[in-house]
Amino acid sequence: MSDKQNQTPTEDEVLDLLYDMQTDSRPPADLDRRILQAAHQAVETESQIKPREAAQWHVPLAFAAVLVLSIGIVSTLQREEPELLTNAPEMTQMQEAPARSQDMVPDHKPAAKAISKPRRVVVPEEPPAESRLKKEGKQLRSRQAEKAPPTSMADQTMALPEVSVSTPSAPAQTEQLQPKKVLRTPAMKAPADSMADAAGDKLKLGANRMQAQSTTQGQISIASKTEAFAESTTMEEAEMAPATAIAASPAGIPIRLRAIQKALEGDDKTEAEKLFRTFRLQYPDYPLAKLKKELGEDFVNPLVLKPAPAPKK
Amino acid sequence: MLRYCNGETGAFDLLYQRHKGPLYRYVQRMIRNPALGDEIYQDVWMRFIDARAKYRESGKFRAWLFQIAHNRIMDHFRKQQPEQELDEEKTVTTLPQAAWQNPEKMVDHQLFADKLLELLSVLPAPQRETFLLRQEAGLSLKEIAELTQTSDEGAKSRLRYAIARLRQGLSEFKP
Repeated sequence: MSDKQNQTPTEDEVLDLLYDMQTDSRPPADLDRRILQAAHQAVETESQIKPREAAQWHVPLAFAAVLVLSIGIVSTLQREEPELLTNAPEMTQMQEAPARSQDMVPDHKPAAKAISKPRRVVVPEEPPAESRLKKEGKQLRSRQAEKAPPTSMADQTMALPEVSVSTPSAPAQTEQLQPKKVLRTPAMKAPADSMADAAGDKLKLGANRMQAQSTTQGQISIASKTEAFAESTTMEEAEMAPATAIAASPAGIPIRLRAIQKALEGDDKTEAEKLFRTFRLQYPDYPLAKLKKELGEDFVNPLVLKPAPAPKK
Repeated sequence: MLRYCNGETGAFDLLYQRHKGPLYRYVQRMIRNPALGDEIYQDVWMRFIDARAKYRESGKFRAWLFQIAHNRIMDHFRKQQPEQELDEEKTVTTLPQAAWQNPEKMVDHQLFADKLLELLSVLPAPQRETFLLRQEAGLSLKEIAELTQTSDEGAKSRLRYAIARLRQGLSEFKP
């Protein structure tokens, strides 16, 4: 039994030994080379495919991200400020209007400085300009109606002691002639609506004559405009015309002086004083001696020495 | 293997040098046709390269490699003459008992080795495969059973029958 047990592993060992003698069989070198080459190519191809696949994912991913962001921004804007997107042109005009009216607010700055800001030139001969003027006149009316001060329009405008006024040297001031910026004279007794309409009509008349001028041509064009204006209007029309148009020209001086004289003749001294102060602001270089001569020293001297009343808020 | 999966071509060279001999002999002795054996051997390595991403470090690498070879060889047998190849039992050349009983008398060992291969080639395929997987791949009976999809006892039985036949053939061999 023990012999059998000892014999069996020996036989297996002999078998293994015999088998191991035949283990020198190996694949040919050509086969080895082909297999190794295939393995190397597979790895290289994989390394080339991987970045391409990544790039293929990047493009649609980036596109989707941009799309989602755009939709998000637009929807957020629509939710927060729908008027901005729907009524963009009107909103722009409405936003411009307060900016222009700020020019009317006393800021103790020279008038020329306020005017020197670059402004958009409106070509008045184009049909849209007229419609725009009318539209803005209506907007002015509605805006004034909303604000609805207890005093009249004339009082409101005259309550501002210091007003920036356009000068003949200002270039391209056609926008300044729009109704919302009109400085009204005390002689303008008409209601606000009719005043705005009249001013709008006058503006259209004046704007048709005025062309969009360059900076160098500003004085000439405005001077020619004011001359034409003076020729074509009567005294009453001039009083109804926008104050800026009158004030912007030397031709407005006699009209202003006449208005002050009228107020003095009518014993409306308060009105005369207001007109005088406005005149002094508009024509600071006008000789005081001439004023005294035309309006009387008794009227002028106290006003020159007396400080202007505080502006109404 | 993992280094090769990560793109190191040098790692494949090492693997190939280590396993090419046993795998080549296993394929050739299973197929018994040198040209076809070379083709299948190359195809096994191609399958290995293509399937490298599926490799998991859970088992023995050599078992996985020989599993691929086994599947490829089985495909070949099914395409050829499966009933003949898988169930064929050729008559083993009778070896002289005296020679086996007196191994010291085996003057020419090479003759015995050649006879062993001859005997091996005529073994039934399952027994031959079990014997080769044991000798070339160094797999355990359990691993052989898993690879050939048989039970442990079935694998053990096949191996026992293969060795008995070889021993019998060699013992009757007279050089």
